[in-house]
Amino acid sequence: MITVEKDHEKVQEAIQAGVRDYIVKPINVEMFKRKIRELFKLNEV
Amino acid sequence: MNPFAKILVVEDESTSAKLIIYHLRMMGFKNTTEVTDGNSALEHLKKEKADLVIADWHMPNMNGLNLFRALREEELWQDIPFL
Repeated sequence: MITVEKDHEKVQEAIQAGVRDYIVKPINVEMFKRKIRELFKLNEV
Repeated sequence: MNPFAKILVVEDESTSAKLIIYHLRMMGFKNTTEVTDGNSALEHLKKEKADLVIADWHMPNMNGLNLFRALREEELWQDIPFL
C-alpha cells in the first residue's frame, strides 16, 4: 500500500485489515526497491 | 527475481504511477500494467492474474484498502503479494 506520511490512522487501519507492506509518499526509491525485492523473495516469484 | 513477473500498478496520480513504473523498469521488470482505481484493477485481474499488486491508498471509486480486502476475499487472488 502506498500512502502519505500524515496517514498514521490509515496505516493502522490497513495493518489491522492485514496489509503487511506499505511505503509512504514521497517515495524513497531505495526503500521502494528493497520492499519489491523482499516481496519477490518471500513469495518466490 | 523474474523479469517477466506481471506487476499491476494501481495509482490515480499519473506522475506517481510513471515514477513507480520507471523504477520497476530500472529494476528489470518488463511486464507492468497501470490502472487508475481499484475497480479497474479487479477488471484487469479477471482477465490476467498479476504476480504483484502495488496500490495507492487514495483513489476514486475503490481505494487501495478496499482493493486489498477484495483481493483477499477471492480465492484466486488472495495469494497475490500486495504493496
